[in-house]
Amino acid sequence: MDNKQKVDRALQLISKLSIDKASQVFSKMIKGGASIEMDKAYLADITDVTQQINENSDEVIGAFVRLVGDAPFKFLFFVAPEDSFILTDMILRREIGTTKEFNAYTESAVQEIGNILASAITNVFSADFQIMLYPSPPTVVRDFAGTVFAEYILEAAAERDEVLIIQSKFLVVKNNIRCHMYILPVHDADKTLSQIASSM
Amino acid sequence: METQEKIITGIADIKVAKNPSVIMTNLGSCIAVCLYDQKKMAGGMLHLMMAEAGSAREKEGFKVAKYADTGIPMLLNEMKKNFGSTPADLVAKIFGGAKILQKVSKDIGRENEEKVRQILKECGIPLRAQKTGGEKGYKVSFNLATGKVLCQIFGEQEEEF
Repeated sequence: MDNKQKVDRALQLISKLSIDKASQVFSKMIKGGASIEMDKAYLADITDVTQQINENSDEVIGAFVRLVGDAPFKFLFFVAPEDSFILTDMILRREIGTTKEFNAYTESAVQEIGNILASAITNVFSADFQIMLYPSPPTVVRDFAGTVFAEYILEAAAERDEVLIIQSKFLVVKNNIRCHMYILPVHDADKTLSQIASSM
Repeated sequence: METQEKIITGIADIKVAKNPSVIMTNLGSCIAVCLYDQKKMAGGMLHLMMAEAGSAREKEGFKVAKYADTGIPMLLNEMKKNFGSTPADLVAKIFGGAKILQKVSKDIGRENEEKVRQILKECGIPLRAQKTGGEKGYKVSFNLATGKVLCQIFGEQEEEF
């Protein structure tokens, strides 16, 4: 197995564990079943991936989190506005349908979800792989899907033309809410992943 | 009535086409440069990400369309190669350059805009319209039948340029 295959294997494993952990924590948070599945981890050309996402110019509400430390990553969670309203009601333990528009509660709910999911991921990195990471406070954005995604990959895309994207989608079972979650290695994350891979 | 083909651009991308087509994109801090040749009803869009290529141009597989200083000449080349358009035949419209993440100290959008204006001036291409800056994303549709651009800033009404 060459180094690239080992790195891919390490990344798949870290991603799977992170997503399982995030799924457990999120289910506990909303007191309901949430199934988060890793969709794919792939090396994407910045033009192709943004072209694909620009086909959908719908509004989304998202949370950006920067994971700083041994292997810097960026985290993005986003959801359609109507689904963010349901999540807000679930988190605030209110009757579903109470939140009807984007407001300070929705912003806080999305921020909290971003924080919880990103923290779950950093826990896996530190507990299982001894990679120390710290999540920054989440930044909530409300914009076109293409704009949110482009700003998310901007930093990595400034350095390279291909970015490694770990894409997952999750379903809040009871209310059929579809959310999207991305993890993106930036700067020297490759080196750390390579070290982990060679010790496997 | 002819059906218009929808063409989408991503980051660091150039698309050129003739009527009946609409070239579309979404932008944050990136800039879309739209060039139009009215006589030929042809146009092109560059979706650039940064102002200057610098040492990146020495890399293998360098993405020319990522930068204003290499992407605009490339767009001009594509217009010439595909439609025979020269700078004298073209007008420009630019969009984007927002500062979406307020915590980011560097205003990439503004840098991009300034560089684009400078290069267009050097190339002798008149800048007919622009909508730039702000803190929200842009949705842009460039209609090659008319050369008009529909631009919507997130949360605002669509405007025609």
